[in-house]
Amino acid sequence: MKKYSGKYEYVIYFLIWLLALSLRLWNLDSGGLNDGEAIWALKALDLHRGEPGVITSNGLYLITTSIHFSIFGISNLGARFWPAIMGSMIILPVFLQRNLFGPKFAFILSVLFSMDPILVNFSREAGSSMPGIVFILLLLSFFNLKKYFISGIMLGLVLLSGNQIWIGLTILVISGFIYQLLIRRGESNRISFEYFLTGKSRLYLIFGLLGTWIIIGSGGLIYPSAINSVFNDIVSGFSLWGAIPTVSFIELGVGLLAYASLPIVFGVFGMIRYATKNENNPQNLYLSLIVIVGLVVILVFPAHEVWHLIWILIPLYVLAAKQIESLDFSSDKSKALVEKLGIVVALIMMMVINLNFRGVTNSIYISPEEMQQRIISMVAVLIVFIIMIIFIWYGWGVETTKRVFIIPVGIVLFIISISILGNSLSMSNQITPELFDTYGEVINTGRLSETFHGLSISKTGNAYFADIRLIDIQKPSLNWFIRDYPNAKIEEYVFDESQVDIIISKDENIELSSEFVGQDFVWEQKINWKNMTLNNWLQWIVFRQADLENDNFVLWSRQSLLTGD
Amino acid sequence: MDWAMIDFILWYLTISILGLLSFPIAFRVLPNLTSKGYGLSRVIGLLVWGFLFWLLTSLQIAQNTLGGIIFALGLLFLFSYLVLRNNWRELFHWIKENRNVILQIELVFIISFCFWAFIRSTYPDIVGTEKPMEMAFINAISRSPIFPPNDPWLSGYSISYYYFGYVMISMLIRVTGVLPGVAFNLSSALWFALTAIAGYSLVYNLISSYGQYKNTNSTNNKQNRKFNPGIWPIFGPIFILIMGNLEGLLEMLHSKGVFWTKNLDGNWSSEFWSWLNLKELVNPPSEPLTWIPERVTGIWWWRASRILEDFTFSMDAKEIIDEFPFFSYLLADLHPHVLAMPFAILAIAIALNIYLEKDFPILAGVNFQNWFRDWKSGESVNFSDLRLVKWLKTREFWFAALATGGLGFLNTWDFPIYVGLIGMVIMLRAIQERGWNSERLMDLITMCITLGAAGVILYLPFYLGFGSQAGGFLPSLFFFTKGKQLWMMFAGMLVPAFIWLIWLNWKHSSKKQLIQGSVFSAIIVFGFWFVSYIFGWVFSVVPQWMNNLISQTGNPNLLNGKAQELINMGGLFYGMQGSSNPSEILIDSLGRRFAFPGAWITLLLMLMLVWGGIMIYNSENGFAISKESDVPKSTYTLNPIHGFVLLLLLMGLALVIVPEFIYLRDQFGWRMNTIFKFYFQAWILWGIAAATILSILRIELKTPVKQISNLIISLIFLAGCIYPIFGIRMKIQNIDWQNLSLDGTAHIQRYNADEMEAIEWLREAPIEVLAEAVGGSYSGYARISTNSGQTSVIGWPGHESQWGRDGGMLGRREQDIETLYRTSSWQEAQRVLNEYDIGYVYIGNLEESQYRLNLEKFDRNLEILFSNKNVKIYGVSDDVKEKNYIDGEQ
Repeated sequence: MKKYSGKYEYVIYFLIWLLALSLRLWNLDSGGLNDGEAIWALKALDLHRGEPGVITSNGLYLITTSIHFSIFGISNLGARFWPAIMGSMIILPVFLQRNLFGPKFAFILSVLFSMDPILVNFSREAGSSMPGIVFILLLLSFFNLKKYFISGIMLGLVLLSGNQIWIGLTILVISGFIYQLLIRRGESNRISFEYFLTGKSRLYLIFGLLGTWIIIGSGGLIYPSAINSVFNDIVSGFSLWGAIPTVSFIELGVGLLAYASLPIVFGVFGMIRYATKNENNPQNLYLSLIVIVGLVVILVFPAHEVWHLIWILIPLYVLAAKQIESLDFSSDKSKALVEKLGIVVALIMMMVINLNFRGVTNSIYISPEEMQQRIISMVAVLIVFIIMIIFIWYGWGVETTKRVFIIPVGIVLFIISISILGNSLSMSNQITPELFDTYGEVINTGRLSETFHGLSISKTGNAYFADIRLIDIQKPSLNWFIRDYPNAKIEEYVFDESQVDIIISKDENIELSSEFVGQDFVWEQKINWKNMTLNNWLQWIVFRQADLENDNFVLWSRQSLLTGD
Repeated sequence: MDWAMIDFILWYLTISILGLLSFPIAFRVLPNLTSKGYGLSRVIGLLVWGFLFWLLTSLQIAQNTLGGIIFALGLLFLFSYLVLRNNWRELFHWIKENRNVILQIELVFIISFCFWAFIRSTYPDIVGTEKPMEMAFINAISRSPIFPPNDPWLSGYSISYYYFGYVMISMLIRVTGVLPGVAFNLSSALWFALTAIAGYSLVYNLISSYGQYKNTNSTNNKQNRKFNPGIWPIFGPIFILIMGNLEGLLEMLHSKGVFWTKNLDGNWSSEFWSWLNLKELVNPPSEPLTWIPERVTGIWWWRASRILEDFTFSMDAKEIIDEFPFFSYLLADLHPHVLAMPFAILAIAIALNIYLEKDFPILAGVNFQNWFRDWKSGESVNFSDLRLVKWLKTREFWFAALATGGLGFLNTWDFPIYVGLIGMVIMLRAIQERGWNSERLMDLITMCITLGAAGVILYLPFYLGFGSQAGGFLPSLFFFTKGKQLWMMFAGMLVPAFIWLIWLNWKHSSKKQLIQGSVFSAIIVFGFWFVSYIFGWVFSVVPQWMNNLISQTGNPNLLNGKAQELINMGGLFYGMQGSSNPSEILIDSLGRRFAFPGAWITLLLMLMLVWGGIMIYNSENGFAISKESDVPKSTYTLNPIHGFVLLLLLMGLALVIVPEFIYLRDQFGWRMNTIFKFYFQAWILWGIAAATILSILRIELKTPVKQISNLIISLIFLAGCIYPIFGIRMKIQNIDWQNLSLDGTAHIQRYNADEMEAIEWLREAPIEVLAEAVGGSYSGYARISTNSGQTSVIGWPGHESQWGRDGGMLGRREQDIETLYRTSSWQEAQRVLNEYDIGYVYIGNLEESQYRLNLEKFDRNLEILFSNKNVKIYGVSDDVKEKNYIDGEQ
């Protein structure tokens, strides 16, 4: 185990954390909360307004967010703030274990964690389980460092992080069990609880756990019944095993390909390498087991979602970082030159292949002749690439060949990751639904808000005081949107037109007097993944384009309010 | 596999896992029992789990969700781990050594659980008697967002009843996910099985401890031999659960025409049946005569629960309930007295464990009186020397408080009974170690008060919201049990008890001890008699005197509230006794008692023999004790189990003697409920005693006395078994093997599928106040709230009144519901909707037949949330209420 004592170690990790934090906070306020986020944000809002009964699950999120609402006001940013902050802490376990990993390894891993699109995206969701994932990693790190009291605190925080963490804990426990079975009794690599179970450490852990659970879990003893949320999460977490599947295996497979190609290529390579070279490395064995068990559990778990792949993505990243660490140019100058040249040529070739592939995939806009030409070009470049690899192998040996092949692949995959990250950060104006977005993307919140304000000012003189009715709409995202309007209500039908200024309905044919005029608008867009063909999938992977389904509503207003613009 | 079978297996596994989780607690708190509480571990598990869940939810620490239930289970597991953390080896060693006992208990459990589930599957419908009420409690508790749970039949109020048993059932429902209709019947089977193993386990412990003591003190080679009780503990559950009173035998004889003669004119007559004077059985049998009890009109097996009957001065009959366990199970109500049974046996086991404790700390300390005297005189005294303090430090005390306090929450009447039993155990131990004197009574009173107070404190949130039905005591002058009724009821237990008592006193008692027994018994019986007449005199004379005073002064406000209450009680007393003349009441009732002396002579004799037996343990004849705080020494050589059996008989006697002279004043006004609740507990106590006595007699008696006693006991035992045999036969004689079911609500689906669909919809709908048809008790009214867990405005008004709801609470609810359905005015309907915060208005067949419905107002103003061919449910949203309110103001 190498001990790293670099001069700027702390500064480097601080900068990486800043990068992680920036990526998670960037543009966080943009876009409305989707239904999944809004459910949690509304609960936090209820708690903020003095209804402790809402803490039936995910206690940590609700309590931290309601405190945030109390101090900084209610906003989309506030609803997403704490998962983002806690998600950025994913760097911390790597930092804590840097001596175990080695400096370069830990550095690569922390950069990968800070920039991975799924990890970033998931951290930016209100009510997500990302804090739970981070606390599990911290729990393992502190436990490994024999810091039992802090491990207890982390365990308490894990338990308060919602019902979705139980699938991850299940994977970890099954993997650990198989690991113990594989490692023979008496071997030093076997996980030993002897010290833990005999010393005072057990007490420290229990104190940490109970203290966190009771004090933080009850919001500083203000909401005692919130302690119970842990058990509700256990029950609901395991009851998901009886759920009806909504995400197909194809979606999971495409998700793996689209989001985890970099860790898969390098991580699986690492797994094979350790398996075939019989390297006696317990961490690699345990990580490999987590990947295999995780994949099986996620496939079998009926309520699986694409983001569950995080549970195998993290160990794959660790395995991949080990592989990336080992990549270096040869010490022989002539070989190094060939390697660098080879990589540049390989990158150019890949770019050509990629451009042609994009053209082929976008079959709507190209003629059959052009498509034929593009396929021929791709095949030709591929043949040249293979010949080049054979020559390099013949002239400069296996190691140089590997580098010329692996490094450009890694660079390309990294660039793909960065481009997906751009989507996660809402950097483009185009709606780019991702597979891990369980709910549709809410759009037009700004425009709707402007309309409400305008109408309200012309009626009441205040931007928020208009009488608004949502007619027979159970849409958490819309409920969250109208939170600031004190005179907004949800009704089954319009009881008294005279009391209402603005109406939003799902139905275009509701009974209203001619005083009201209506205009439909798109509230939510999503992709129907179930109807995707192979061609649709390819298009989506390459261009992030697919047919979007709109969820429309009708906005009704009094004609008298629509004066001016 | 059939769903009912899966549900059954789920319940079996759940309760068995709970038993395993709780066994370390049982092992720790009941160490003096030979079975280490294994047979009671399921009961202990339910008690501790239920207590933790209920308490945490009541304190708003846990939520009434599955998560909250798992939370409590986690705490139980943690508690179980902590109590035995360093003694696991001891526990595993015991399990290894006692596999045979474990197997026996498990067999008794599975057989009894299967047996009663099968019996219930032949008539599973939850209809009639108070089953709907119990179902309503279970569903309401399952759906209440907070504790105390909503009263399902009185919106805006929480349950005012002892509902702990229903909390336990609701927990099992949610853990196993079984439908409430199925769970109701599974609960009946489960409680039957829990009572069976609790009874088996307790009698096993008594017999094995008896044999063990006998072997240890024997001079032959048996000294080190472990005593094997054989099959005899099975008589525990048989005596408690299976055996009935002698009414079954009488029904059989009656059906066959025994003791009846046909006159020449073809009329039947019988002196015997006239003397017995049992309703229905005084009438001639119907022909053809048969040995199988049958009744053309009415239910023959019902009469067994009504063999006692009281008569007023003017010979008006008053119905008395004398249920015994088998009847209760056959009736299949999940009433508190049934749900409390295994826990009552647990309390007896705790008493036995305390009794068998070798170095019980209480006996080493000083009592409060002496401690205070020493402290006052300036002697150096420590607070920790107090017996009470020593006792408070023991885990036995707190576990006893948990169990007896739990009985208060399960079936309130049982609480003082079992606190009293534990107090008497401590008193007997003190008698054995220090001899009998007045301090023993102080010990008894102190311990009972302390244990009772601790039991109340542990369950304080319950008592804070509970309104007791009892409103003081009334003297029982004309109301008393006749000898024939007492023997009909308890013969199965009294016969072995008398044989054993006579043997015990003949063999071990001295003349002095028998005299002590006679004096004690005379003081108690005649003392109670005297007290009841003093009370009678006060209730007869003082109100009259007060009324005279008021009429003389002409000031009706002359007396304060308490005095007015006394006048009211006096009035009630007059009314109940059937005469307004005090001297008539006092003298005639005395005459009647002497005319029917059977019961009090039996009780007098029995009490004499029991106290005479207890006095055998009195150590005062052994050696003099210089100071109460000396290390106690026992001087008796009599097997200590005799002492415990004597205490069981003594407690049972107290329960039978007390209502002979005093009874609790409730809504009914006479002894109906007092006898019901007291005799039921006496049955349990005497049942355990009788089952143990069988083994003792088998060991101790020698032929030919043994053969004669065996013959007598066998005959009376068989006579007691006639009732369950014919009872079961009646239930399974027309069995339809294809349609066996445990679903108690399936009949709704069969007869009114639309209503069932609506109920299922309401089970998933948010909790709101529900308007539905209102009607009398024991009827099909309130059926929607009963089965859905929603809260009705008013359910069975008579029952609400029984639960202590006064006119202010009930108000005009019944009339308002009628107005809501009938009125054509929306304004009027609005008022009702607003006043009771109604969220759903239910329209079904019953509402249509009960009220002349006017639905137009609902159709115009409310939204239909659910409808099918025969049912409509209107929803009243908050906006409608708000609007209503504004309209109302207008």
